[in-house]
Amino acid sequence: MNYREDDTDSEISLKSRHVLVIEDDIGFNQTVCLFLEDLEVNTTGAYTVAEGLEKISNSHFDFILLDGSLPDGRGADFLIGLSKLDLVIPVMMITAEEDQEQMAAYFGMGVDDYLLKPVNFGLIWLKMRRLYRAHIISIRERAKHKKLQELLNEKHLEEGLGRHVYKHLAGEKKELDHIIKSSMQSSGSFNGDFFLSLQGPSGNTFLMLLDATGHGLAAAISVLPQVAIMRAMVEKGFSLPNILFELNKKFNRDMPLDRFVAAVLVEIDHTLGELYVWNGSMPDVLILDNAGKIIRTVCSSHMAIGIMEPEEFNASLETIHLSGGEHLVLHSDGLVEQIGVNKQVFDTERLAQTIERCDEVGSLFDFLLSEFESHRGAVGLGDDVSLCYINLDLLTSHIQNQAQIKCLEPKKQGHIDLTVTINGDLLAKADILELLNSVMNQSQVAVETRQTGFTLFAELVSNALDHGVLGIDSEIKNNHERFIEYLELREQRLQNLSNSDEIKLHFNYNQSKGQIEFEILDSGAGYDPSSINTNDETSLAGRGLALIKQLAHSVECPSPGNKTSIILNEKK
Amino acid sequence: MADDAVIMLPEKFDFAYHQQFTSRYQALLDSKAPKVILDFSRTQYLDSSALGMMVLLHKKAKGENTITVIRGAVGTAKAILGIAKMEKLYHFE
Repeated sequence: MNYREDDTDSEISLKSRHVLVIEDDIGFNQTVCLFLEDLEVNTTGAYTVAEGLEKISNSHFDFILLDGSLPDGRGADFLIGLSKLDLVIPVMMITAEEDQEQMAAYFGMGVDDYLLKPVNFGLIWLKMRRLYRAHIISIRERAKHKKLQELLNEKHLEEGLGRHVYKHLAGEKKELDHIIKSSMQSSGSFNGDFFLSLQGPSGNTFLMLLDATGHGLAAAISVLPQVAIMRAMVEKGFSLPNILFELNKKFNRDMPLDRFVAAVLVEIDHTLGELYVWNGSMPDVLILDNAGKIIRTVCSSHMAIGIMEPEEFNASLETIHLSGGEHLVLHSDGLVEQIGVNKQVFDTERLAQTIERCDEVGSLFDFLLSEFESHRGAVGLGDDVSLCYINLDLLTSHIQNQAQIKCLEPKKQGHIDLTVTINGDLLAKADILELLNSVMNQSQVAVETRQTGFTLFAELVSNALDHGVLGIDSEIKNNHERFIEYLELREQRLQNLSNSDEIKLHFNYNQSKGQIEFEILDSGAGYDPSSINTNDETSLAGRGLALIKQLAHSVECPSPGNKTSIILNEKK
Repeated sequence: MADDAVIMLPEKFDFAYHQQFTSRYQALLDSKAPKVILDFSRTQYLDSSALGMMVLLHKKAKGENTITVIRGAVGTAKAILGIAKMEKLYHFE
């Protein structure tokens, strides 16, 4: 008989393991040890209970062969001692006893198997191998189970964190509960859909419904930055196309190619009564009249966010003029792809029919949800399902009330005054516009005013530098055929600036007046602004000056024309 | 949409964009595009030189019987285009 092991998994092989043989019959003990040594198993013999316990306390053993009756006690005494050492080692009894009750008791004490004397060595080996293999596999299983438990705990904690962040980001506004209603149902433990409503500084409302690829935390990773960008940009007063470009750019840059986010973004201008919609790969946006009839749909006309390269991305919006009494319904594809108890899909047509069947548009949201639930019955969600409903009239009056309350609040009082002189080489190197932009930013100047200010300052600084300091004839700059000539001349003169070449700026922002005063003085010889005709739209000359005059509240350019003062009023 | 001759304008439409702008519209005019669309949807800022470039584009387009169109202008960009009376030269979409 070939007793050699053919296991390729060395961990479950007894080869090179250490076996303790506790047997008082010296001849039998040595025979067993020799037999095992021959199979490349390390052995140690012990002849009494005490000796067995002493050896096991001092050395590592992988397997124990135990006799039932020893000079100083029984096998049971050894097993009691072993259990106190808190060691998990497979034990096989080799005994002459035939008392079945005694054997049952041994099993209760942790014995794994037994053999009766006289024994067949081949059988000892087969049983040892099987026991040892089962022992190792059970250790592995326990380790796997422990690891799994740890992972599940970790996942649970992560989901808890995700839910917290989601809830926090959504920033639920209780006072709008009856105006903006949303239901987000997750098909997994975590939702890849996300709905957000925000109010911009101009009073416009922004809505965003996202449906990210995948589920769980993977989807959340796509959603979270989008929400953060949206929140920050709306707060700063950016327009929807600007926000969309940023969302797409960041996503395209940061996320893997196979990830993207289908999205509907809506901006509502309550003053103009206009609705702007961008639909990127989401189901139709539905606009209902006060009778609950669908009067307009905005279908997807863009790819999802994150797919297009920034320079290919299209942020053009659909504009809808509101005539009053409209309602808005947004949903994710999970809603119209849900299989019902009747094996049919709750498709777009069924959604439209359900909307039609609703008697009272005010209760449409709850009606749709309950119809959806009875459609699907006990069928599990196939995808994340989101449904949002907005009562546009109520929203507009809510925003207008808010604006009225705001008018009664005490006015802001801050003031900032700054004088900057730049000369010599720094005129060519310092980004004066960026400096002014950052001053306006820090002064909390409203975005729209800041953008107008930036345009004004850009014109004024470029005039002061090009025509004042560098003395370039405006004819060269305004003639596009001579553009290269202009650039060369500019470059050449910028190389030769001296400290007497100078631009002096004075910026003053008065928060309570909502007014920016700006003055720019250059070291040039000046010019006569009245010599420039600003009335001809097709002429290239004087365009900058015309722009300045239109954008600023007042413009002064006293003789000799190297100083310009403007006043810019914040839009109310 | 390959058949639309669209020039996607940058966030800042100023001198720095001159060369790119000129070569793009020249290519479109050379290809006898019936209309050239300037997409402002991402543009936050434009200066007088941008207006100048637009006037020039219009002049050249007119010679080729090409219509010039402004698309997606919002906020300050829209205001500046309005102030500059660009609707006299361009169709607003």
